[in-house]
Amino acid sequence: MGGKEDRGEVARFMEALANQRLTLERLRKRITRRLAILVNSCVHCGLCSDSCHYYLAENSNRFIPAFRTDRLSSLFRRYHTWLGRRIPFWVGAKGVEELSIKELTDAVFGECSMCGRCAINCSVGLDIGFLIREARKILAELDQVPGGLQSTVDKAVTTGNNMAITEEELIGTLQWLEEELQQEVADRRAKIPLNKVGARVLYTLNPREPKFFPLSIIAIAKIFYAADEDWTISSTNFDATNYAYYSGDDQAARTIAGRLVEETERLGARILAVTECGHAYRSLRWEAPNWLGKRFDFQVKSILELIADYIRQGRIRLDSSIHSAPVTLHDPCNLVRYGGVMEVQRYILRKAVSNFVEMHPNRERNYCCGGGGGLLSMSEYAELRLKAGKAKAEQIRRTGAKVVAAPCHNCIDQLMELNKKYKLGIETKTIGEIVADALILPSRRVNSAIESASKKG
Amino acid sequence: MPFMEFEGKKVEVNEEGFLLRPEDWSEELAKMLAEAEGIDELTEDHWKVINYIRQYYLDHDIAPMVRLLCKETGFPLRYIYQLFTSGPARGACKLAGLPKPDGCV
Amino acid sequence: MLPLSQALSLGALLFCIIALLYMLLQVRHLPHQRDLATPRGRWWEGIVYAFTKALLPWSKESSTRHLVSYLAGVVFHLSTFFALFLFFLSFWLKSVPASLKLWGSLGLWSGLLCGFGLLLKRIFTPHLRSLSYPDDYFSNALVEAFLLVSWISLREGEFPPYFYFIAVIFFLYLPLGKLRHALFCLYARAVWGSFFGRRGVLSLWGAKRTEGR
Repeated sequence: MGGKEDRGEVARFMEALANQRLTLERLRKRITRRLAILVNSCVHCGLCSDSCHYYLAENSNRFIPAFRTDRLSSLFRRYHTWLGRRIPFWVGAKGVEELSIKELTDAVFGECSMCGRCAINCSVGLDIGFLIREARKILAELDQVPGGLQSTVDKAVTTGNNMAITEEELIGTLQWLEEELQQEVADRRAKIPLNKVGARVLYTLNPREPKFFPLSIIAIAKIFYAADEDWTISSTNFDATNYAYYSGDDQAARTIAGRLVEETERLGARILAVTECGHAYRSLRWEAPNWLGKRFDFQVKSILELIADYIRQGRIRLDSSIHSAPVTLHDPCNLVRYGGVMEVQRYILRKAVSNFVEMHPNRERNYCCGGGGGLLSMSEYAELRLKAGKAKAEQIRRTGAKVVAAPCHNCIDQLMELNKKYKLGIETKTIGEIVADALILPSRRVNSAIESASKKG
Repeated sequence: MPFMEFEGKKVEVNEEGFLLRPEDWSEELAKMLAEAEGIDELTEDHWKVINYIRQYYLDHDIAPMVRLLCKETGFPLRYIYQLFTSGPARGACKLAGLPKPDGCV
Repeated sequence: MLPLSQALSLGALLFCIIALLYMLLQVRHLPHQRDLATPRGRWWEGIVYAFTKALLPWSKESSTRHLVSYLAGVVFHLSTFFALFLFFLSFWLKSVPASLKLWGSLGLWSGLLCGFGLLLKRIFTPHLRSLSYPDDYFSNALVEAFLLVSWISLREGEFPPYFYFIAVIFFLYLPLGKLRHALFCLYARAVWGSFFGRRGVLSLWGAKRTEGR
């Protein structure tokens, strides 16, 4: 009996040793120029503390962004600085033997949404979100990614989308949605074109849309219809998300992003349009070229940018009086702070609703909803995630708005939960849904479409 | 692991209240889960949705697409969101005793 | 011939510069991923932003919410730069002009007070203490010692050997402990600016951030 327990202990000890060795190896390989600059620069001023929604909600030292990243920096100091090697305690250098993998996992996966609010507010100017992902990368190589997040990545790699939707299921759903769309616009020619070679726009989805929340697909299809866009959806490579960005697994991230890039090239689309999803936009627009080591021949755009173009060019017209209740806007971190899509959503909302109220602070200074960083998929941190949403909940409450427009499906789920927990009494919508409801569908357009078609013919 | 007290037994759930072992499910347990979700009473329509999801899960080991849910129950999409305000995943699937679905939910 | 203390301080300064340059070269040699995504904004605009607008008290929450700490930090740093300037000046200066004496003392004293305030803050604020190591306290104290001897020298009108002695410790320690942020913070700031500038998040002239083409 005792022997068995001992064996357990021995196994755990061996595992810990192996982890330490691996951590060291990774640490040596991992150090890039950017990482080295960052870990050398934090002056421990502590001014980042209250920029973090976790710290604001919980007020505990371990939620200070600098404290979180110091776990990584202290390892760096131990092995790569002169004083750290000789007098470790003096500079807070800690060896792998002092590192608790569990604690590090909690700190960088469970207690940080990589929203980067601290990075924008850092008195020095350190991209703390980048440091957190570097730590996640090490943990990913040690197989320490929390279960729910890892299995979401695995599903995406093995089945082509993170909810294991089959091609047949997707086609069935899109056909059903097409019928709904045709009823809604009273036009049999309204289509959701599949796998169309040469279409201008390849539109991508978050798998949760076809699986559970397809209203947002109908909304976008309706907008495309009204704008007379030449668009398509791929029945096999439709998933815009990339949870490997969150898990820190660059190999998987490359695979997932690579498929969409190939599909865009195969179909010859000029624009890869990303659904309202923060991290999907960020991964495809900003990270994928680096993962794949090439520049793209097509543009990656958020669907919001396309909608704004349609409005600007007069391709769609909106009746803002349909939304008269106050509407506020949530800025998803990866779309705004890390993505740079900042003004188009405001432009759209000013045209689509009659009473748009800004949240404060907003744009790159906005608070994270608390659901980012892949946290929605990690149930073990759910309670803390909802607590950390307090800053966002208060921000929303202060606007007095009853509708929150959130151009990110992930944020929407978190906001729905915040709504329940903090009794906000709000409705959350995608911008696509808001625009679709405000669309003026002139019969003229149908006629002119027929005319131009017959002219061409 | 967290658990729920149910009829004197401990039923293991995850931190968000999804059952860990779908075989622990029973209609009485679903009622208890509904309460936690803020649904006071499960109507016939709720049951129609729950039973369909449950059966589909037992047959296919995955939650059904919402299209099938609408088709088989005959309910319009928006009605399903009204029945389960947390949506089909966090609402209906949870009550049907499914483990938490992967992905962005 | 230079007095020994002066010669030593120049030696320490040389060591400091070489060590910093070495570290800089080391960092430059590390693998670096070039950013291949089509930029939305301009990287240089971000860098200019990082070194101008971003320094203003109202541009970051970390300064607006902590205005006192921010101001103390600014004064402390300016005062340190002034002390460094005095160090170089001391090799040429035969006697200290009265105006420099007055204004210099004022500057050094405000730096001392601010630095000391920050040190106290570090010691007595629990969350800040949790972030601090001996290096953090020592670095602050060392800079203050340097400010103090600079002030004494100004008052005396001459630079005594212990002024250079403190300078020696200061220059020797600078590349080893957190004081090396003197180099790395500038670098990090530029990286930050160019990163967010490229993505069109930071821009000097406000809201012209929509993607063209």
